[in-house]
Amino acid sequence: MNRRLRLNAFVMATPTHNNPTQWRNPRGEQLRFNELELWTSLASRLEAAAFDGIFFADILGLQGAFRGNWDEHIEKGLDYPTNDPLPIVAALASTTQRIGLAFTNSIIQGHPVTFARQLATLDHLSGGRIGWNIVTSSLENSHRNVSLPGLIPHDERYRRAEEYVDAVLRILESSPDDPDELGDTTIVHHGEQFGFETNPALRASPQRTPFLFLAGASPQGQQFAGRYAEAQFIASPSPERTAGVVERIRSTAVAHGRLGSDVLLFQGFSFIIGSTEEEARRLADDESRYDDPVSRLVQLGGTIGVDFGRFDLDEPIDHASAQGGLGPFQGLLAANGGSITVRQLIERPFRALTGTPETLADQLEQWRDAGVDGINVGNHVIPGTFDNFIDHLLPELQRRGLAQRDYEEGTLRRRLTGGSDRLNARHPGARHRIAGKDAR
Amino acid sequence: MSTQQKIHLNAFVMATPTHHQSGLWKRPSLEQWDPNRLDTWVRLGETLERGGFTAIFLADHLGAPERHNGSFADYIARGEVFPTNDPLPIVSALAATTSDLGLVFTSSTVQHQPFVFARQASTLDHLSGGRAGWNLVTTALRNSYRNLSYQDLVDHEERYRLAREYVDVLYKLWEGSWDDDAVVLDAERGIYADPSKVHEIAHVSERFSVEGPFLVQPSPQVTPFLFLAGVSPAALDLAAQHAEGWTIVSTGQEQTRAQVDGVRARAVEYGRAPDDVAVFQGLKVVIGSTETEARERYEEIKALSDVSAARAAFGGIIGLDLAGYGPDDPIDLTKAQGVIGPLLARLGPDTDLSRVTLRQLQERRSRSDVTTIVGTPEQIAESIIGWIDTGIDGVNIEDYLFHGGYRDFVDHVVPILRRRGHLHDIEPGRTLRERVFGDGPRLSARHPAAAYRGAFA
Repeated sequence: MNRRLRLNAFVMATPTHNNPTQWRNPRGEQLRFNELELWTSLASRLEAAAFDGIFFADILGLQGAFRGNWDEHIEKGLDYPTNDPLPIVAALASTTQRIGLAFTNSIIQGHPVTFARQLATLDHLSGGRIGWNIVTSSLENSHRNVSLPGLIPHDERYRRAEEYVDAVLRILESSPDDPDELGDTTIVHHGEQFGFETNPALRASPQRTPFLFLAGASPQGQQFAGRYAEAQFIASPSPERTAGVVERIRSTAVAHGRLGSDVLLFQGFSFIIGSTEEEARRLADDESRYDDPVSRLVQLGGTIGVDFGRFDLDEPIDHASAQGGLGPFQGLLAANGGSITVRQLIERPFRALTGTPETLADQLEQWRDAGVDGINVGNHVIPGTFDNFIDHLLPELQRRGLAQRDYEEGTLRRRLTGGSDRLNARHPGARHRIAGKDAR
Repeated sequence: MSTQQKIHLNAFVMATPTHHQSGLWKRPSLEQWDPNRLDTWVRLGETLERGGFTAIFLADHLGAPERHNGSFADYIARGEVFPTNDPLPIVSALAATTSDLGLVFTSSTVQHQPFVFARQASTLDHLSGGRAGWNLVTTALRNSYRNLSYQDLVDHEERYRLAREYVDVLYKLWEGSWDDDAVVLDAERGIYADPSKVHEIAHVSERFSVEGPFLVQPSPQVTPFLFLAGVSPAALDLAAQHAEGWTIVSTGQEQTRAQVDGVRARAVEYGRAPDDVAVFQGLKVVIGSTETEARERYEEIKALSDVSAARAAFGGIIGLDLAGYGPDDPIDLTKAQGVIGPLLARLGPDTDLSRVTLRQLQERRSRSDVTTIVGTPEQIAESIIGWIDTGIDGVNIEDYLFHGGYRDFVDHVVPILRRRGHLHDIEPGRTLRERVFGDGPRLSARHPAAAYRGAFA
């Protein structure tokens, strides 16, 4: 039997997301990101194509500086401005019936009681279609926007994340299926960051805990994801090198008392699809007219914590001169022999899978065989990128059994995992259930 | 002449099994509704929009009322304002299913980091085309504080100090961080916004430090429409300074007139115009096709009321555990830390607050409660029109029967009010602020938030 790939549309409520300055592309409509209609029409289109989910990325502040400031980010609209995905997802709950609605929310963003209530309300309203992408925030500005003095050191951030996520899951999982089962069960939490007492809601939402997405690159991030993620994002360079990534993630889950198969792996791609290879290349050239290498440099540096604006074009940048940088930057250096220049960064090829429906389906089949469970479909332009995917590539994927033609019944979790509507019993959140009330 | 005067209608609701009337959820015959279901809200939104309501107004609590008999069991068992869902996702969902209805949601000044809240509210204002309204509350329930990592209830004066600190950050983000002409959108030159016109706010105060710049570009109203409630001196003062909509539940028209005049006079002291504050009086309605039918329906509703739950909820909201109190046992209201303003207003200045009995409160309530209107559509319309002379700008309809009641109101009362010229015309495509004040979508230049326009340039 052909194992299908799960499909998420990967978006963000901002002028430029995966591919900097594509907002200038006249084929794109993402400049209307403030308008609800852009998102409702996209979601309807995705739902008609049986996409598993629409997935909103988010940040809480500006990316790291370029040449010591944010002028480039603001001027070029690089992940800025960015709207809160929660109200958007809530609105989509009323205009769609089947598609999953996943959004990003950081562990420094709210209070566990407040956020758990928002999650439960959304899961009720959507009939169990909510996914939460747990992020820990690595941007200085994000921290300084929410009354923290600066970036919380990495290890401490993960300690904090552990407490926050555990508290949210405890509140959600303490709600019973049957309201009659609930007495005066006050939850008392005394932690390092939070001390509170609260009462779980009377009636659990369809999934009780929304489906949990996580990324995790650093060693702590990998452990954290191994413990909590039901779906994890990976950024593997090739199908050949994916087996090692898959093995690492599944064994981490096992080390946390779960099954390797308890974690679904999603790889992100952008696609450029032509009816011939030649057309695909022409389309890629067309898209690249709206590409801006400097903006890509700003965005890359801002994400991985290095201000590339401080370096000359051909000046070698290594670990010492970059003054650190985050995990992905260390990976970039390692792949390039320990140092890299701004020119090399600018000239790096534009990373999109480019080809005909047949060749792209061949490639996705290889990724699937390498252990990938799902694809986050990135965008150059909204909705055009998704229209192309749906009109040209999706029929081929469906023909090969690589993509579903229609939705199965049930909640987002049931449809993605084939299991139950609720967290499975091996997940650490499950231990918070009221004893004897739910053994599924 | 009151016949010339027009009013706004808001529907005052809450995502909880029991809001205005204890025990109502028990009766399927009275149009059962489930606050967890989106369909409940979508249908209500359609009805209100059809009736030309100005806004749906969602109340909220962040916790259970004060413990009764030492526990929350009574609230939980009887669904007495517990559980309560978060109103923001609900009004966001309605942004997609309605086109003109104002979307007002309650959020407390202790609930969020101001940056996070400002962003949620602005996103909603964008998505809804300028229909977002924020009901600012200061939280008076002990359990709400303990839910949010506070040791205990924060005292009354302190709450209002916290509220001022909170809105100060919001105003900086909303009005000050982006200049009006910051967004350029020049695809040719690749310029989305002008960096010299987008500013960090570098706010530092006792509880908050917020760097900025604001993550959301200015939305249609820039600052969402601001509602406040409360009649205590501190609440009145905050409303006079900050509210664009002020909601009251006075128990008589004389009292309403005094409150309207009072808030307007105080607003003037803050450099605002008297009409900068629109006042909304809360009214409950029970509609029947005959007066007898309305009375019967009202009796049926009252019979559902669970006396013990009602007493628990009453004590819970004012912040006292009244378990075991008989009708004539003295209650010391001076110790109440919860929502006490409306009660004090009802009792009047001559009452000895250290010795008030439940019997006394019950009598005072039934004698003075003219805010519940029971009758035929004509009688209800007549009664609402009678309130217009108090100087109010609108009414918050607190319905006993939830959707069924609003449907009856829209089908039978609204046409009378409209025929008699007391409802505003519906002009599509306007922001909530334009709908209420008739001027532009932005906060008045006299509002304190306006002081931050250009402040960081």
